[in-house]
Amino acid sequence: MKKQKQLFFYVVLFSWTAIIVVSYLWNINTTKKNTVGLVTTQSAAFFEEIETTRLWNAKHGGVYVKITDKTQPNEYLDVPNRELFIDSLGVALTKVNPAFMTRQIAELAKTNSKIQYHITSLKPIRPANKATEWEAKALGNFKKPTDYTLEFIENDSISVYRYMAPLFVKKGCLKCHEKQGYKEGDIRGGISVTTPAVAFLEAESLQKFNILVFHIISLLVGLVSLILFKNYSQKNYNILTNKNSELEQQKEEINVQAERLLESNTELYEKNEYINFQSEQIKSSIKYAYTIQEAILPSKKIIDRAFENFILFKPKDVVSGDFYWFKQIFNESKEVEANFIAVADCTGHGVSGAFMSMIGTSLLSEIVTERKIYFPSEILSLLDENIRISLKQEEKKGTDGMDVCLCKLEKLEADRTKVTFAGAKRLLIYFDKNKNEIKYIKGDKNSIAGAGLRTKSGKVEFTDNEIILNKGDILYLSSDGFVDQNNSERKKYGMTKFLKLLKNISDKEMSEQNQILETEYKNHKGQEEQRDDIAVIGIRL
Amino acid sequence: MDNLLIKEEENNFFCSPKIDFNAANGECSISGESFIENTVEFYCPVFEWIKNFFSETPDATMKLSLDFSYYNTSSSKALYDLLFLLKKGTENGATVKIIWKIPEDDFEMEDDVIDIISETGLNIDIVY
Repeated sequence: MKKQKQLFFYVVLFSWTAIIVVSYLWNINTTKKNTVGLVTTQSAAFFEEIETTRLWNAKHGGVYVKITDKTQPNEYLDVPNRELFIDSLGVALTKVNPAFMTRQIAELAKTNSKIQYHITSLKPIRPANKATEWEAKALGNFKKPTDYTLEFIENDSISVYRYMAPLFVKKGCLKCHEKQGYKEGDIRGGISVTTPAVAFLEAESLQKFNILVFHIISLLVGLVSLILFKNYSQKNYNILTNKNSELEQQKEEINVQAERLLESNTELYEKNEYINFQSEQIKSSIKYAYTIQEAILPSKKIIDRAFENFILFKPKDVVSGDFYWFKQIFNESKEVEANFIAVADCTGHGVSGAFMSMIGTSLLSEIVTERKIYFPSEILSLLDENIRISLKQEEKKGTDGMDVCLCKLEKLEADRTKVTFAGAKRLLIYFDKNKNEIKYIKGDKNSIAGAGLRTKSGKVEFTDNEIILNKGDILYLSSDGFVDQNNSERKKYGMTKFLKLLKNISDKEMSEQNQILETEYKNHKGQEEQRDDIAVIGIRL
Repeated sequence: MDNLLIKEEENNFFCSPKIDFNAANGECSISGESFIENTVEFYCPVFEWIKNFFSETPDATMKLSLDFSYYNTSSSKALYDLLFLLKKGTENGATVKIIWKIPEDDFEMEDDVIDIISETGLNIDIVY
């Protein structure tokens, strides 16, 4: 683009210069021609004047003039009465023919004017009129009356234009020249007119100078304009180029940004992928953790073998901070001596709750199976102590703990059952079939290893509560998950309503009770999120 | 000393109660639902305020009104701490009057409050 523009500029520059040079040469040439034309016209005018004068002279057959010192009779004129003498006047006259007259005018012109004439002939009567070499050559070339020749002759001292035209034989000429054998119409000779060139050359060179100056100015003006135009357009071009390159740069920047965006998009996508991957891993890990939790939770089959029951177990997340625990102890004859059942609600839910539930389960089993502690109050005391030790709560000031509802069930005669209950911030609800009443026993106000626990001595005391139940009576062990569930108005289900519900369903099959509880829970919860883990266990004696 | 005012907040799952503690007349109230995961973070400014209040005027009178629709287990731990601070204030010459409003038929909360009374030895009027 730029090179093309440059080339175009030089072409225009060259063309302009060429035009100026051609114009100059043409003008110079024209000037020269004009000069020649001027000289020719002037010379021809002189020539015609002389010819006319001569014709006049010839018509008269020559004229007589006074003989003076300078005008002596023409010895070459061979005519009768060449001299006339007027005696009365005492004057002597001599005949002057055209040739003599021409010679005399020429001689006069030689002294008075710068323009000179020379009459000549290839066969002159007067030998002095003999043609010079140049004149002879010119005379030889003449064919018709309009022919002429003009030559510029440059001498050291003076330059001249020499013009020459032929003299044709006319009637008047024959008086003298017939004897030479001329006929009318023959070229008899010629007259050359010599004009000094100085004035013409001066005029010409002045004009040439003017032309030169004009052309130089034109050339310069042209060139300067061209260069200015070029610079201007270059500037515009540069501005355009700059703008272009700015645009280019901006485009480049946008590209870079787009690339960066793409990169960060890719990065985001990758991160998202990674997060999804991690999330999946964590989910699958938690799902796996649930299978472990499920395995550690008591087998439903074993409980089923012992009691008619239902277990409503709804973790808030996959794994649960609520758990239940079941243990049977046997006497020496391998008969069931007592059944232990507990529902616990660990602080927190999800993974943290699940960790606590594992600790709770293993500690309860250890206390009952290995240490053979069978008093529920004592079991809770030990559980509290062991959790504190396990979690190093004295050092770490942790408040992680659990609320527990623990019962020991021992068969008595006549289908009666002795229930020993100890509660750590949990109550035991039971249905007295005979009285058709729903009742509850409050647990102790202390939680296991957690909030609300204020003791001055090291050991935390729990209380055993004994009740004797009959066949068909029902025990309900629960965490607070069900009663604390809020509805859309953020109102929790509440214990009063819960007790009423249990009373209403107490005559139903255990599995049906489970169903009703679940439905009731869902209805209450509506679109709200589950607030906490839920565990409700019902046991019909 | 500045008053302490924390707006009630509910974000999709958890809920924090409204805190309105007046330094000039000692009238303070906590109301709403305290269902908070990190109770220590939430109640810390309240504890600080109470400490400053009693240290500035040890013989001040504070009237605290508690009105919860629900509080979770970890909130109850924070409430214990709060009430123990008030208890400490009374031991240093302050007068503290506490009114605890309990929702109708919520005997669990009632039991809890009764436990708190016996635990802290504070005079708490229960209103229904």
